Amino acid sequence: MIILQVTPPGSNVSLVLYFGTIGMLALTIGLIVFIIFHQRKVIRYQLRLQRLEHDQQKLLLNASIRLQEEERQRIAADLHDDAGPLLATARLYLNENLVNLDKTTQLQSIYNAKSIIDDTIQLIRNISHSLMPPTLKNFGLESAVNDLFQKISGSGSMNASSRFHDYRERLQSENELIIFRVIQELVNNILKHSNASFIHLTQNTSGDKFFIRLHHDGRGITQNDFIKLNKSNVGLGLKNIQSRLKVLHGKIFFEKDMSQTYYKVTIELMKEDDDKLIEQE
Amino acid sequence: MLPLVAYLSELLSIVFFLCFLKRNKGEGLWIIFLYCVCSVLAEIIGIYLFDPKNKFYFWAFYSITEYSIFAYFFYNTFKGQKIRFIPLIGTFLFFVVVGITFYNRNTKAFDSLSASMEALLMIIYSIVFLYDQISNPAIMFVYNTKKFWIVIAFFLYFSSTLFLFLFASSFTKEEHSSYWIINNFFEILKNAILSVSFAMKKSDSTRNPIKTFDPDYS
Repeated sequence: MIILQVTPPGSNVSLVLYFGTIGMLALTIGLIVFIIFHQRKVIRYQLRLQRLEHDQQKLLLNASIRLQEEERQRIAADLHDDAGPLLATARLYLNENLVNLDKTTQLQSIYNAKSIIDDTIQLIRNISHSLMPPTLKNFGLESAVNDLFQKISGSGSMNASSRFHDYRERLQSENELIIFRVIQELVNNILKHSNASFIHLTQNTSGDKFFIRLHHDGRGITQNDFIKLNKSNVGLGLKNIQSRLKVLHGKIFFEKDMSQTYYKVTIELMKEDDDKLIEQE
Repeated sequence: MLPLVAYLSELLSIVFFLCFLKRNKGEGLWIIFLYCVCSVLAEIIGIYLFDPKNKFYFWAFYSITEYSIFAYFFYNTFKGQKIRFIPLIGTFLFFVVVGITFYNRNTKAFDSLSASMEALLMIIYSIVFLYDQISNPAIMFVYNTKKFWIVIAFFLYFSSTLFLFLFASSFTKEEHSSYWIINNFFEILKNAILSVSFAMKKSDSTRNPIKTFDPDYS
């Protein structure tokens, strides 16, 4: 600035002045135009992201509705195909003609009807348990998961084990149910698709975060596969996991183990969220 | 002819501000109105000053007032706490330069150094303002706001007159009258943009609906 100031007035001054002014003006106009176009581009990009998010939510909602419908159909089928015929058979044993039969046949019919009604009670209990496992309700997530894994191990097809390192205080029952359903879905997927010989579940906490990790040695998916499946129309169970975890503001990560031998699924939840939920209640 | 149009354009922005007073209320534009008034008064007083020493001190004082108004405007406009320090640091530098100019005053009537320094700082503040706007998009379209056009008006004016102010103290009378057309032309442009910005409607529909968007696909 000072160098230019001390330049003696002469022919070069007008040249510098004109070129300088034109240059500055061009730069300014260029900058303004760039900013306007850049902002428009950013907004278009954000709108596209918002649309994607909207589509994603729609997919999750559809998956959730479809799952609910499937669950209803399953219950309806169980009641119609199993409980219905059982009760109809019991009714046959207990028809009006029973009083006209001899004592032994009467006793036999009553015994048969009682046995059928016991079966029906057991069936309805099973349906009820599949809707809300009593172990989960009464003893919490740890016991329910241990129970589930024991049943899987008991079948002999797979070695399943679980270990809860830091679960002294139970989560809210609704949250426990959501986590249990997510674990059930994951385990179900492993049983169906992975061909694994073992599943191991661990639970621990770190800071204000609550982690559940599932390891298995079968075929699995990575985070990229999970995102792709979530965006596509297939992978109903995974979408259901995603929508359930969204309720808890949780995250899920699918990856291969450091040794590249095992697949690992990590569920990450915020411990604070439970506190907030308690406060809200 | 052009200088006269330039003087009249100064009045135009004042008239527009007063005509659209309702639209400009609560927008923090009173400070710009104050600048417009000061500018008109300075032009009038400037005509009656003939002594180079008086002229020098008067225009130096005007530069300080003009700069202070702009610095205050930018300080209030910037959203980021860190960015707000820039006008403070700039003001300190400006006053140091003005102090040096006063101390080393020459026989010239125009205070070139402080005017150029002011122009340079205004360009910097304008760029910072634009950066602040695009990095923190609280509004849907930046060009729908009054402040954006005000800053653009000053940005254009100061960037096109920077070189003129740099050389102004070394001009002869003839050179001054021939080159000062640049200043007059961009002053008209600046006042026209200011008038448009004062006449613009307040628009709440420009608020960005994507502000709370959280694209989490984990």
